[in-house]
Amino acid sequence: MHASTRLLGFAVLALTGACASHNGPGAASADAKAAISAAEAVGAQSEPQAALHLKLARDQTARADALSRDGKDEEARAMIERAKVDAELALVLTRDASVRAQANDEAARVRALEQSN
Amino acid sequence: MYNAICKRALLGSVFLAMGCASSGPSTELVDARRAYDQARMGPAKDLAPDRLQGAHDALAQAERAHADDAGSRKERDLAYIATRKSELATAYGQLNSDQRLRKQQEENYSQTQDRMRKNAEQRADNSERSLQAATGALARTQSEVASERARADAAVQSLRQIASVQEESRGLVITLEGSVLFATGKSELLPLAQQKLDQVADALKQGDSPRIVVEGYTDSKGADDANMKLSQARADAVRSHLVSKGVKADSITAVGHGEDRPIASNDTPEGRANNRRVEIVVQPASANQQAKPAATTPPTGNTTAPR
Repeated sequence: MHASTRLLGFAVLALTGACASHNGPGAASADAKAAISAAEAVGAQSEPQAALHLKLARDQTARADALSRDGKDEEARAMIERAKVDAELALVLTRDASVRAQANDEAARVRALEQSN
Repeated sequence: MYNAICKRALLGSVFLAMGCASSGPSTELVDARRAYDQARMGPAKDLAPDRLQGAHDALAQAERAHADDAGSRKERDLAYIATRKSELATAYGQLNSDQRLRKQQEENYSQTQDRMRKNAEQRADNSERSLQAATGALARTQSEVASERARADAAVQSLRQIASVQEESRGLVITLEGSVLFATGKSELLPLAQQKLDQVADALKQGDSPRIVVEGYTDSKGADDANMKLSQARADAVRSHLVSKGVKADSITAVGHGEDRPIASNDTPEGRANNRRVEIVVQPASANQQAKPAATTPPTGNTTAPR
């Protein structure tokens, strides 16, 4: 596995682990929000497919907060889990789009180099 | 609180019983199954197997929830998460694939750069070799020119021993005394003359196909017509001998000038002796174009065209 992918997985696992170490949905919500911030940091809002999952994650986190306020902790936790996987998916999709663009750029450089000869 | 939980449990059991009896999988579970099938057919199988296993486990949880309580919120939540985990497995597989592709393209770029650098070096080497070959050829040509010049100089030196040799504007002029070549009034070469002309022929063959004009001269004694015929006959005799010794026939012309162009006074025996002569004019190859008309149409005298 590529080093950056391992790092990415590590970050996600750390977030998940942090979630597991807390019992209340409030703390879990914070973890979900951290995952959303991580996706935003890599530019998920600029990639259409990633942006969709980012929005889902935000909506689900807001809904989890509302459920928590209503005392529906179990539903809140489930909603947070949903938000977290959507945030992680947004992150990975964005990262993949970036890597694919870099690969395409490299291919274009190779073509340009060959044509310059 | 306890009562509420009991009520919920009871309600759940009722729904479970109803679900088992009448409910199929939720839409979320159907989506989760389809997403997992797609994930295991994609790059995740080889490039993100741990993620695919996670998706499998998540789907199994959703299936258990469905078995336990078909259509429940838990089933739908777990199925939703299973769907996303399958999509994550696919995304991670695609990410690894693209990272490999990017690495391959980086290597391609590097290899292309190396190949182009080597090609450029090869072209430079080829150019260097071509330059060296051209330089070598030039050096050989210069050497050949020098050798040719040395042979020509040696030939001239050889001629100087048997005849008068002078550089004039019309070319190299080899003057042979008439008394050495012919008996008085005759045009047949004397034996000694033939030996000298053999040497002249050897020297002339050294040159680079020069244009040669054999010019016969007499003194002023006797009739003009007779002198003209005699000088032509003598020039022809010299030309024929030179050709017989290997000088190219098409490069040599014979001209009789009679008593024209004396080089000394005809009033004294010594002067007349000098005027009775045969001149062999060797024109450099570079002057052939200019020399040809003069050789074929001399201003005076008879001409024997090359034959």
